[in-house]
Amino acid sequence: MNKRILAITTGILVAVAAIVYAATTTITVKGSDTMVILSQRWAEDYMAKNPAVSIQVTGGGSGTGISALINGATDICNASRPMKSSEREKLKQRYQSLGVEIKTAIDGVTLYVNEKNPIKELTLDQIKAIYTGTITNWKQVGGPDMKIILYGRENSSGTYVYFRDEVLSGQDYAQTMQSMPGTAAVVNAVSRDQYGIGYGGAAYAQGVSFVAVKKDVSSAAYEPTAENIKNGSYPVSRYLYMYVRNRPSGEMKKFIDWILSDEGQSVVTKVGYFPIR
Amino acid sequence: MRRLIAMFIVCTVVFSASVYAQEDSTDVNMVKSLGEKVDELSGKVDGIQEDYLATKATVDKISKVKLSGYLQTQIRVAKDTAGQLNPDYTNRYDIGEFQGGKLPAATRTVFQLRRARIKTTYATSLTQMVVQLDCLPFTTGSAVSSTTQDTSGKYTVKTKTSAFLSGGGVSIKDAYLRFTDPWTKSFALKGGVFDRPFGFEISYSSSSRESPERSRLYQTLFPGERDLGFSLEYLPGDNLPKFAQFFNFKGGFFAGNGINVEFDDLRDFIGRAGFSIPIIPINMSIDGGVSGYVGNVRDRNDTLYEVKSGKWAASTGKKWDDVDKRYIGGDLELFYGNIPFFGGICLRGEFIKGKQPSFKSTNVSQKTGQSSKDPVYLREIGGYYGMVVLNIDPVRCQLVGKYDSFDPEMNLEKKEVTNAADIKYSTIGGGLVYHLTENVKLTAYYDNVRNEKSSVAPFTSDVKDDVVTFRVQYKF
Repeated sequence: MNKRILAITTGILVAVAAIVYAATTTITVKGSDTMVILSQRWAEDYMAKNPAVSIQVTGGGSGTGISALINGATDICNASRPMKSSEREKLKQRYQSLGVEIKTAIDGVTLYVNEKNPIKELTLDQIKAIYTGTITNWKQVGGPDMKIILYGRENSSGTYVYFRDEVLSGQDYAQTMQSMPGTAAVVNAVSRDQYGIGYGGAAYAQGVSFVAVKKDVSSAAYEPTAENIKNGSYPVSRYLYMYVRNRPSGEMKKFIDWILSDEGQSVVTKVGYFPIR
Repeated sequence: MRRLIAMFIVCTVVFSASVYAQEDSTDVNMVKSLGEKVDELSGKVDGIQEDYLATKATVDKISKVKLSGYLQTQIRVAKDTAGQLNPDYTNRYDIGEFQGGKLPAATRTVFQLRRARIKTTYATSLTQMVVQLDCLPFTTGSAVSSTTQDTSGKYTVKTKTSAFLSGGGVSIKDAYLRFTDPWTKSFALKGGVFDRPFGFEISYSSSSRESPERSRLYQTLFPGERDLGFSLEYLPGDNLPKFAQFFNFKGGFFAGNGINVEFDDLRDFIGRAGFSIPIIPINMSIDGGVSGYVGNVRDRNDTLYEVKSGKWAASTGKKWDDVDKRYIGGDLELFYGNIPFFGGICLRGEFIKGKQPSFKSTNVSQKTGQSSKDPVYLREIGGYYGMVVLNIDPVRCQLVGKYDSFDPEMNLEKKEVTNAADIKYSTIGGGLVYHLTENVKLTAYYDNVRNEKSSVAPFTSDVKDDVVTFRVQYKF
């Protein structure tokens, strides 16, 4: 009888160990679209050095990633905004954990306009008025007498939330804003639309012009350059985060440690964001 | 000859001019045509833009409606007996009443649809309307008409089957409106049928709770968890200063009789002042609160019973008096998310003390029965529970342990208890929860139920009423 119990117990332990081992050699990463390219580069480089580890990266937006972390559908969540207290509450309820936040890079949220658009700088108040629908014509900010076409992100995006909370002071976006499924789609739309304006990560800005941002009318305008973002002059910069449920261990810890190492942070620079150190 | 040459030159010039004029006119036509096309396309784009805005407005409206729900189906097994029967084939005592409902007589195993809930929420940024329904099948039963005993002692039950339906159908679980203040977005007014703002376990959803059922003290004092009333809530948002985010409050006035229509003009105040202190750097959170219930029930009998000197004593002249219903409670939850290998752990405990008006045969808060003309029994109740939930994150499991105790009359001890409704109970529960997918949860849970050794048969010793529950839940 004792042998039978021993055999059953051993079997259960082996099965559990096998599941744990399988779970730790495949790492799933989901979340921020802003961070998809960066995260894929990290995964590719890390897997090239550690062939036994499989890392699967998908986007969907920071909100989607955080939901996946809460639902157990991903191991790591990428987020371009901090986790909300309501989201921490859900994590706490399900996992008895507030989650572990890891700052992985710095990004300047960039305002894009078409290359033919003569507007080169805007104040934060003007940007807010444009995106809340108070300013609707380029003439009102010194441009041509043409309607402003707004492009933005979907509400599952961390950039959407960050921009609304930090730039629009929590006010709702104008009804006329066209919600695009990713930052690349925003850039693409603005590059084709002479009177369009969009926002997103600095790394995506190709075929469009940056708008320099001023804190107010009397302050200087700053472009989203590495120097301006790092020294805090550029007014719309943020951290890019990774979240995990508990203190990372095993392969996940090694992967995150590598991201924070000089090697991992050099990928940040190559992709077009800014290292945390 | 000269004349011929001159004519040739003139013809050439005229031809060239006409060709040039024709080409010029073609270009003008082409530009004109392109302009028309651009205008046409621009009109189409404007039309698409209008269509997009109209569609977006519709989609935005639809996206405000959220549908969620869950279904729990389970098998319950009475560990030992359901065979201790009275002569009329009814159980000598109830089994499983606080583990998902009484098991039918002479039954050890039941298949059960425990909860099947659909919740519809319409939410704008500042308003919310919620209706949640519970849809359960009716159970059928048959009434026993008479029992006879022959000389050998054998019983014969004559069943004049009169089938009846009970315990099911579609019922309201929640139906409320919630208005949030537009400035801080942290204060809200709520009205309708919703969870009573008391303690922790009431508002902790049955779909998330790790033990299959709430503690005995909550099931006794707050049956159905909901009540009809209005409340003010302060649930701080991220926009408030940090220190303001540590505190929360819920409180309001309620009819005091569950989801049923009100039958008197007495209102009960129920409230909880709480705190939640997240210590993010070490992945720990300490939450808690104190709760109060101040209410009354109206005595429709001349006599009121209370325990004095170890026995029930009657006082008269109490008809139409308002009898106190008072509880005070405290709850504390400690979360720590960094246990190596396992992940997170939660230690949770609550206590409630107070005065509970009910009747001789029951200690449960009445929903509609206060219109009864039976004498009111005013009990001094006390109870608590403590539980631990340990995650094993890599394998999506949770280990659960729980101990709860409920004494419906703290002034009576053991042999002084002569009434079944005054018996103290404690329950040790433990189980395993496995989150198969994000929607599916499996639970195996064992409840060891212990009663106080009283003077009431068969509760002179611990009766055999342990229950094992195997549950599958689907949530969306």
